[in-house]
Amino acid sequence: MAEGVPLVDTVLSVRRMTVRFAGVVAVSDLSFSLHAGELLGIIGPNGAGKTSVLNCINGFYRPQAGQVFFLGRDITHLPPHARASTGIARTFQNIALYPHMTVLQNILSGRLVHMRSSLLGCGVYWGFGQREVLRHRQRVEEIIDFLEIEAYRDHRVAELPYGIQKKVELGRALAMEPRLLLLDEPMAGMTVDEKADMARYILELREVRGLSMILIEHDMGVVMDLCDRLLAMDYGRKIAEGPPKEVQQHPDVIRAYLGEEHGVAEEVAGGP
Amino acid sequence: MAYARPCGDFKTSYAQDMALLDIRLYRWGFLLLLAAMVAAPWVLGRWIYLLNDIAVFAIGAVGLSLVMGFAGQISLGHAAFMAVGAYTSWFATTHLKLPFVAALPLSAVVAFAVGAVVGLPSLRIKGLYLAIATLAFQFLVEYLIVQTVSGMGGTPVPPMDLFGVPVNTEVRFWYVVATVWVVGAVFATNLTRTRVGLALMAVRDRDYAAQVLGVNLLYYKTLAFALGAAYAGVAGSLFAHYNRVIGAEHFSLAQSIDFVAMLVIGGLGSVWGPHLGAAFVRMLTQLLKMWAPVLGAVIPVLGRATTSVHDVVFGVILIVFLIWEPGGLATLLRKFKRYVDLWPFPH
Amino acid sequence: MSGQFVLEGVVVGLAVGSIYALIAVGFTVLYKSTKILNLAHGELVLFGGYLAIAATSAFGFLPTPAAFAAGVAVTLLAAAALGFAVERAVMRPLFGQPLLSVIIVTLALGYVVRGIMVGIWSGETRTFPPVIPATVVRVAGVPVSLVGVWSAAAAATLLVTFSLFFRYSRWGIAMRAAANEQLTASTLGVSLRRVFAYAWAFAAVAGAVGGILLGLWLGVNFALAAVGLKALAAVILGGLDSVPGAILGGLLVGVVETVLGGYMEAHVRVLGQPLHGFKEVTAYLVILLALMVRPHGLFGTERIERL
Repeated sequence: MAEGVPLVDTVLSVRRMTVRFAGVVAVSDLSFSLHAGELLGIIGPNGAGKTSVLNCINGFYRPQAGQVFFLGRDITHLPPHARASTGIARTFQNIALYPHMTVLQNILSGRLVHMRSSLLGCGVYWGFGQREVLRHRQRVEEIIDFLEIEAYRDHRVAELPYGIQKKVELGRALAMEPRLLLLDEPMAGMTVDEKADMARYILELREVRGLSMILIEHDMGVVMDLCDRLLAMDYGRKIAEGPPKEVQQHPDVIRAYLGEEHGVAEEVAGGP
Repeated sequence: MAYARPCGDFKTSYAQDMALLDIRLYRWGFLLLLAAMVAAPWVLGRWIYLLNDIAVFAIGAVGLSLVMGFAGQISLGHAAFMAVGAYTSWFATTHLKLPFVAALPLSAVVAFAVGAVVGLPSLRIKGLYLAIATLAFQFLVEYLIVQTVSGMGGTPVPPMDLFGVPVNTEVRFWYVVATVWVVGAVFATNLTRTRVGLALMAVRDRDYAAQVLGVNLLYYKTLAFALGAAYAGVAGSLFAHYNRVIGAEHFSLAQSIDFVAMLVIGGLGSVWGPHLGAAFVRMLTQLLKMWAPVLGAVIPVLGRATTSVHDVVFGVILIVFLIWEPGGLATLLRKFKRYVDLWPFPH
Repeated sequence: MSGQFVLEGVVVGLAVGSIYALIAVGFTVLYKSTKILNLAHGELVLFGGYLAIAATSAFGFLPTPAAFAAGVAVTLLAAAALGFAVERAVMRPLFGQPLLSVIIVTLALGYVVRGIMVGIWSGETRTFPPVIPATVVRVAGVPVSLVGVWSAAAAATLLVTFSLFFRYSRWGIAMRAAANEQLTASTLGVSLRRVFAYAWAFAAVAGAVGGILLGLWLGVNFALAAVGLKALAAVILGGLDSVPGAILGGLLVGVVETVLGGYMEAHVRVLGQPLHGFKEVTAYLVILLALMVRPHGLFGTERIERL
């Protein structure tokens, strides 16, 4: 898989990617690919470069070397907004919603990639502009139903509790109707119940809609249960890749988590 | 549809939910407002000039609210865009011999283009640095006016002419400016609830997230500046033919700051804000003009000059609003609206 | 441009620039420690200039140098008091408010200060009594007024004193700590309130000194408030958060303004018109050019965003 045209079945393929910041190597010569409908988990200690990988996939960082292919197309040089319209959506580690907008507006803004009305159409509203907004409103309501957040529809996001905000952010990403969803620690800081809800949504997205996803998560229990395949990183390098059970047992992974340098034993044991 | 807000949600379509005036009370209220605007000259008599003055600046303020309130980009050079519109209109009607109906849209288009050019660097220059860049732009335009066209004095502008009818009275001007005002305000309000508005607010609230959700930052930031400038351009064109003389002092930094004051006092990010703010600021300006000599006599520190009274009063009001009611008049109005919605129950 | 013209421009420009630098340092220190961009800085300069003249003439019964010294002392005290008052009454309630509100409040403050000054002194140009004889001395073969030399020397001395203060004194270190990371500094026992108050007082005093020095040289009128904006240009050149950058920026703006602005005014004609007052807009052109090339100034730090 290192050479040649990616298989049709492959949604995303990252090839020999390297990212450096002022001398610090965040990602080093990383290659992996993602199959259609697959849920890939990326694990690793803090600072291993997991988020940097996502940032390269959606274009927020420009890698110094390497390429990113999405649906058979080289997207390495596309700016983030253009990658969004090719069908890549993501959520953020620290919630990045629009705090002064309502839940409805936040999720509706996920539909922006699909909105086509002209400046004049928007300003005149009656006619095309209105029909378009209402059509998208329909899709937004479906997502609100799916995530069970009807009660918060008209609340400003900044006023909502953390767990709900995480849901809204997932909803905003889903509103894009992406082909690939990048989830950056969607369950960090959640209660057990909220985690269970989130896991249920993720499973449903995979089972029912066949959505391809990459998940970064520290809760090993969740990762082991949900993911089809795991990719373990340390110091920007890939140290293991394969079925969850194998990766969990991999000596380098155990060393990365339990080793002298990091010593974050709890993470591998399954949460705090 | 009820007169007051019904208990429970009785809306049956998304169109109803997204309507601007969703209950009958507000629709009648809006019609009443339009009727009042038509009847204003009879009611106000010679005081109609106050409304003319407010309308011109409210149109400009709507533009700034798109830039600052919705897109979150600080602009301290809004009056400069007004100048672009005013001088375009002057040039079009005198040198190009165009009628006003052509000069007005032309002013909007030229200001739109200038706004786009000024807005282009906003992708790289952010926050405070952008504020300073717009400040520099403001000064350069002032300098340009003094150097090239108007000198230290003013440039005369011909009166407005609408299909052969001279618009040479306050009342006639009122009907022209009120039409532009309502159309412009409705257009801007519609923008804020569709694609453009959503994208601008996304840029304002969190630009990197907006980018990842498919919003082209360069396009929308530039668009915000261009749209804001176009509104200022229209206001400038109307002002030019209303005031009949234009000069650097009409489009000074002080005017730019007055625009900012209108937004802050009216309420940032609200569709009613710029109108309320413009009304407040212009009325206060006119009142101070009348009362400055009296105030100066009572409080000797304020001295003899009108400008000093104006500056001090404005400064204090701005500070008071920012500290005690950062949401501005629009928030006060919303509190009142909630009261109406819930009437006759207290909660 | 002849060599002599450039040399003269550079010498005079450096002299003026050192005063700009002083004003700019006040600006930068305030920005560094409070993250507030003070658009009322020009008014603080104006305040210093007018008050010093008024106070000096109020002490008119003393011999001129003594009256001047007393006037300056009163002005600096008043400026510091003004700084403290502004921080306490206006800025503190706004702590944590969005950038926009804070900028607009400083603009509003500028309005109030300027309005009161216009009210009291009604905008005429005023001059100090002849503290320093109006003779011309030669610096590097270039004639410069003695007042200019003294002003520049005073500004340079103060700049050195300030940098020593920030490097070694307790408050200087506290302010630098706050500038670096406000919350961390406050958990380590730095009182943010005090740092903010001192920063405002410092900015007001630096502005006032600038106003006095420029006033000695050129007289005080309301155009002096524009000097605050030249300091802004200096700060933009240097990057908002760099003190050495502000000093260098100040000197640079002074030189560019005198050499380039002076040349354009004297020799360039547009549409047959000489460019009157071009010197005054040079600073803004500098701002725009600097921002186009380096959006964070020459020495400013660019924040790397983490997601």
